[in-house]
Amino acid sequence: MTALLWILRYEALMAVRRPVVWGAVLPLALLSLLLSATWPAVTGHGDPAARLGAAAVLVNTFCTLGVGLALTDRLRRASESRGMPELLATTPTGPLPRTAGSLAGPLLTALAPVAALLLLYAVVVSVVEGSAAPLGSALVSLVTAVLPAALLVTAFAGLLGVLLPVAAARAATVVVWLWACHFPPVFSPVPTATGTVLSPLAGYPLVAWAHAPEVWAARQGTGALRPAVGDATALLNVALILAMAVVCYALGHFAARVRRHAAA
Amino acid sequence: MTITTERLTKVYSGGRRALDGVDLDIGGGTVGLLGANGAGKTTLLRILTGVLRPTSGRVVVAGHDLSTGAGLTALKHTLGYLPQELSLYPDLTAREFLDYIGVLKCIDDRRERRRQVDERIAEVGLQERADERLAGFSGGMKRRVGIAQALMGDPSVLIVDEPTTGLDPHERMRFRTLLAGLGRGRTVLLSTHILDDVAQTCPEVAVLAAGRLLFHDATTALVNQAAGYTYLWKAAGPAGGPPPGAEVVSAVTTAEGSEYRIVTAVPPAGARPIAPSLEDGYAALLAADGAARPSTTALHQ
Repeated sequence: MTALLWILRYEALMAVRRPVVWGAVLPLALLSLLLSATWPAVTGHGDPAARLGAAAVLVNTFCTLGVGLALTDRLRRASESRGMPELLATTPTGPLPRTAGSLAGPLLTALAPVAALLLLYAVVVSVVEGSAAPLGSALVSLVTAVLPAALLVTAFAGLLGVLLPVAAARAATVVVWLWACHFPPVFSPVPTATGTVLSPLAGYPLVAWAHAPEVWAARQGTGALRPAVGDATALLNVALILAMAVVCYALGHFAARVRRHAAA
Repeated sequence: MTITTERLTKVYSGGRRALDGVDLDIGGGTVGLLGANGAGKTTLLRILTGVLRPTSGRVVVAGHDLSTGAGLTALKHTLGYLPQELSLYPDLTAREFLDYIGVLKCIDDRRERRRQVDERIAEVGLQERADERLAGFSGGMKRRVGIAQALMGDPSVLIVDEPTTGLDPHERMRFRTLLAGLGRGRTVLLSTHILDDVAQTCPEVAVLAAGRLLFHDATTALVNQAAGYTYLWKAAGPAGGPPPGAEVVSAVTTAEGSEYRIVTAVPPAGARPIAPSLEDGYAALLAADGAARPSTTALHQ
């Protein structure tokens, strides 16, 4: 456990010192905060907890994508890092804490300003409204929506970053992210993941547990993948996001390994 | 013996045989591993560090049989390794990087790690730059950090792959001095294709050629392979070429003509015998192994 914490610390330190992390995440986090404080679709809700739920949708739209874009080159850089993979393989610390630390360190670093701004907004709303519900809504959003979505978009962008040039991988991530989160079936001539339990926007848990407006779950669509909102479907949405993240991480590491061997 | 291999063979997918039945016994001290590019040096080192699995054969390092999971795990607690190329983490300082490697080497006590980091930094002479980020380090300084990380945990076996490649002469001299001191109390296997490095730092040497172990003995014994066969020979006229059939070790061309340092069993007329160097011994060994030319087949027969 101690080793894991130290690995996490150093991986986070490296992420903190990379300008791309701040360049991609901070502007989007500030944009989310600005929209949350001024956009009628958020501020217009009478229920302050619902205001935080709607704000979490904005955060999951912009900031989570920003985290993914900031970390797109993470696996690629690791696979191109000459000598380090074999050096690490000769150390007694196993691959599990190394992988977990190198994954969680940068992710938590990139998510830290996002979480801080959402919680800051929640505290302000809570104080103004005299209710703890907005703070609770923000915490639930972070745990059940923002964190799983960030895991998935980081894993997906990382996989694309190994397979494509980094700029192309970032562009493709934006397109796929929009298709999966903000391409509702009523506007879409092609099948879309938006509004389904597969959507990384995590609309189901946001609506079910964080008081986000109902519209962010099924997105006016129907079908087996767009069931009614409830605890079970919210849990399913979270579980599917995490499962897809695991698959993308596994594929990304496999692709990075193949790439490393091809280069050797 | 600290490092033992028995009939060690590695065949890569595609059929390339990188190692072919290598039997090697290494005790303590610094041992040079010589060989041309593609001779199998890096493959051997990667097998000895447990990074690569052999196709067949047995490997025992520091008493640990690497064919077992327990042996591989135990080896990692006693091994220091500097790969041929090492991209250090540019966003960490030298001190942070060494501490990170200390964590990975399971030095759990923070004070002990700090003590070792300070010692290693002093050992490689980086005290002034220890708190600067590695992104700004020169190639030589990065290699010194590489050696320092390999020494974290005070390993009993140190495996170093071509550490001086690409260094400027001053850094190379400095690095050699550093390497020469590492063999005290541990086994150091130094792979290189720079013969000067071996001549200056290794009392013992092994030579690989095309995946086979061609030689393993004292460095002076390799030098002696060319004893009685090494000559200086001046070509007549400025356009004169080397004598046919001889192994040319070096050549100096001036306005008056060319002077060749050659290894041959059949010296040309006018050749002046000289004392052999490690380069001459290495050339004689390879020539005898190749047995390509009539004048060199006689070597060591």
